[in-house]
Amino acid sequence: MPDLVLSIDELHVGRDGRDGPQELLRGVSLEVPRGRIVGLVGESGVGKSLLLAAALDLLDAPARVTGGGVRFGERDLRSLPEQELNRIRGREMSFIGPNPHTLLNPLLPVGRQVAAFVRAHEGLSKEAARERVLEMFTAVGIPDAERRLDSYPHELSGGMAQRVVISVGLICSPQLILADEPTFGLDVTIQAQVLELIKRLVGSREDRAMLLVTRDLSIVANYADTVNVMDDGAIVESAPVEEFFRGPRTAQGRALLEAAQLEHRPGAGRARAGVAA
Amino acid sequence: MSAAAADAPLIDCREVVKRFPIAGSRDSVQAVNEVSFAIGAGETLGLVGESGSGKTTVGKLLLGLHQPTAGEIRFRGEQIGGIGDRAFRAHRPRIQAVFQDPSDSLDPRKRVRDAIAEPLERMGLLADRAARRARVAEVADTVRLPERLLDCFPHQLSGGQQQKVGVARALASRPEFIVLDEPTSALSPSARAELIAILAELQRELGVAYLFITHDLKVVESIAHRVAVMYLGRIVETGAVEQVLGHGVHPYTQALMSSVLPPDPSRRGAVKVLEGEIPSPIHLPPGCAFASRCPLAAESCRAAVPPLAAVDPDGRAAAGGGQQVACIRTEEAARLETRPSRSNAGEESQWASSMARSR
Amino acid sequence: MSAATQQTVTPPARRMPISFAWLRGQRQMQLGLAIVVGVIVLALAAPLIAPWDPEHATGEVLAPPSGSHLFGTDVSGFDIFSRTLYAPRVDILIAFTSTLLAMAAGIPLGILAGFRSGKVTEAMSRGFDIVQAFPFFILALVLLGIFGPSVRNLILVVAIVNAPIYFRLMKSQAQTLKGRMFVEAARVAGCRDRDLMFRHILPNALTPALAQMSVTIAWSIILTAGVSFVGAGVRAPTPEWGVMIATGAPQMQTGQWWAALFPGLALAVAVMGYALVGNAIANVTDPRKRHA
Repeated sequence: MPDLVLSIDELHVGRDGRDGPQELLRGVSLEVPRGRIVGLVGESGVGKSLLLAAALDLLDAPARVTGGGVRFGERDLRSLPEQELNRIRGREMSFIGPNPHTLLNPLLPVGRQVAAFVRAHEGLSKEAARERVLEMFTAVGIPDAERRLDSYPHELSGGMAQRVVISVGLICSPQLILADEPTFGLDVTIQAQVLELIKRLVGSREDRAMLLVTRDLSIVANYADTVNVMDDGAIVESAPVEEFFRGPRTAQGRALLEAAQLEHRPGAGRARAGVAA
Repeated sequence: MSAAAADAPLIDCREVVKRFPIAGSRDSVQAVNEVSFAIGAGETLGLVGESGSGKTTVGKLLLGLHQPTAGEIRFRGEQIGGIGDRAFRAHRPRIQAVFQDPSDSLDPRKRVRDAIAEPLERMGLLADRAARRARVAEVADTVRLPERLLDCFPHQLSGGQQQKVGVARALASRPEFIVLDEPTSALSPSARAELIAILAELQRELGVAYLFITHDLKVVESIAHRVAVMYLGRIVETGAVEQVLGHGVHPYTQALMSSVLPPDPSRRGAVKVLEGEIPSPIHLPPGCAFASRCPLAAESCRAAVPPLAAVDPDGRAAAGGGQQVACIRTEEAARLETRPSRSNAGEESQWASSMARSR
Repeated sequence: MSAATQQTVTPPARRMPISFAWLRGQRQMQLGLAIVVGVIVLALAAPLIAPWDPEHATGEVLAPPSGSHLFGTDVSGFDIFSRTLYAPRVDILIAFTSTLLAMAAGIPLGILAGFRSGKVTEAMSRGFDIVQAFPFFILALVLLGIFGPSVRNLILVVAIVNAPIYFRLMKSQAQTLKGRMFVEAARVAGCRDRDLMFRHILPNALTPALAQMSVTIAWSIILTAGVSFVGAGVRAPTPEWGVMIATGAPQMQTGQWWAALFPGLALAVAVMGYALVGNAIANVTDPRKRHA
């Protein structure tokens, strides 16, 4: 088994803008080793989501890869035919995004959607697929799972719908999970549930890995093994998580950490006025 | 606590209930269930809870934007709950609000100056234009809003500046009480810190009281004197902010606090995860609404709603005092408090094993 | 990244819902505006430009277009060119006045109905629905038949036919806007219901109505020409495109094409101009676009 599940090497992504060619990703290099959760942080607009799209080879035109490579295990993704890529996507390499209600088809019950997904990738029979989905729903902690198979997305709360999306991301036991803000907008106790679940299902297993994209540094501090800071289309800092939080080496890293610390302690009791008892 | 016999607390809520009927059905959403609390002059009560807790509805009830289904709301001893919009207007100069989304809470067609002056004009508070202009300049200065922005439109301002306008507008009528509904949620961390500092300063100088509604425990810790934790329409714990947030006794409070992640890997604690289903606010179960997710839930919990009762830090019933909890298993809950430690894959907290046992 | 950015923000001079410079740049708008302005100018300047008195028989009946009669003469000997120039006066008068009337009735009632729901507003909505249910042309003919054709009645009738559109538009706008946070905030600031409706909701609801205005004018012109064509509106000898088409149509069979063609073209161009302007405004004021 190769050590590196994902290896992005000097990836360049560009597009032709109104004023000429524009570079969106400028030589990004990133490694996701087996059994690890790798964090990718940065302000909005720096290219984090774009990087995930590029890794999945799902860039929206007019953006396209202009240089560098993406290796999934031993395979060079850029040289594979579309058919092969389709087999890899979802099955060996999956995606979890924010806004579950935009990722789910509002017209179909969620059980059917996930079943259709697993059948497309593994060719299971209807009954076998349903069994698998039920198993997965229970594993991700969806209560009353059997009944939930027939629920429509709008009948599910944000946390529940997000767990359905996570089911999709895990059901084919992929080697690599690309997660983009998996807990964005969720209530804090639901977020805890989801993150602990991810840690349980990914963190300690040797045959899985995850690239976790988020703006929330606290999530990275508590769940990731390494931190990569992105700014303006490039990775400016990369370090093991304890090292990064002891002292970031770049200005961008420091700014992000300061903002996170400020968010965590907006006034620390000093703001409180004296009380007239 | 400011419950001296001589003067009534500024805000006094007793057993307030709010139900929203559902069109085409006999059911209703039970948004607020028998909520009671008091706020004294110049103090801040934090009201925390996640979505569906009813905290925003409580704020709107205090602002006269909703009428309570039952219960009493008093301001300086006078009844203000259920008196209707027209009668409530008389109180508005003293009861103001700051809203969550600064870009949405300002009329996009009105200049900032007009937004701030609106309370003065609508309620006929200052006689002439010059006096109103002066007051606008004064409150703008108090919130550190640059004067040159006064003639701008909201969309030209940053989120932090827009929210300062919201605060200035709330201050224009020199209120005694301000309801703040998630005033910092939409702001960047630096704008958030600045706004909190301004709000605290205002409280010190003007003696205005706040009801600070938020889901963000870190923010409430920095500005509130006391806090009430809400879950599915009820207050489950209340007390001094350091007490409740530092040594919360209700299992929900504990779960809530442990879900707040510090930006520091060396302080990874065992997260108390809640499993189980959240009941629907339309059909609340007969007993404690938290029982379906509580690691300590017992049959007696599901039988009847536990009342708020005073406890000491070890969860034992106390004679009186600030900390009150709506739970009948507080002693066990207090023992369950896991010390923060580096969590490894194999280590199971007492919490987690309790969860496993209760299912 | 947390450094305070000192923006040089300058307050704009006036409240501008749309950027005029950009608006002017749109081709649709340019063409439409040219036509609209042209029509209005012609209508106003007709007495100065028209070579002949539009209601004075020149003696030459059904003369083909020539140097002295650019568009020829019609069956009564009137100069068609002069009449074509004078015609917009009636149409514009009726169209503008009735549109303003329709807005004056439909907009406030629509805001009221959207803000408050009750028996009265329900009845109002039904009433407007009934009016809108009739094909507008038939309705206009029926009303004119009852009250008699005159310019004043024509204005009222066209206003009645168009009012429901504004009612509906404003009702739905008000329903959406009343839940917005700034409306709640205004209430807390001491606004009464009527302040909320007319100081806060109305100004924010108005833009689709403004976009609709030009389109309504276009329809009103067609409606006026249409009822005049069938003889229920403006009557000869008053110059009006519909009337002119009606009197000129029989001559097309005998080969005198100019009597009906020129007024027809003028009508089509004028209506298209107003429609283009309305369309361009609608595109620009689309709430999905953000503009400074």
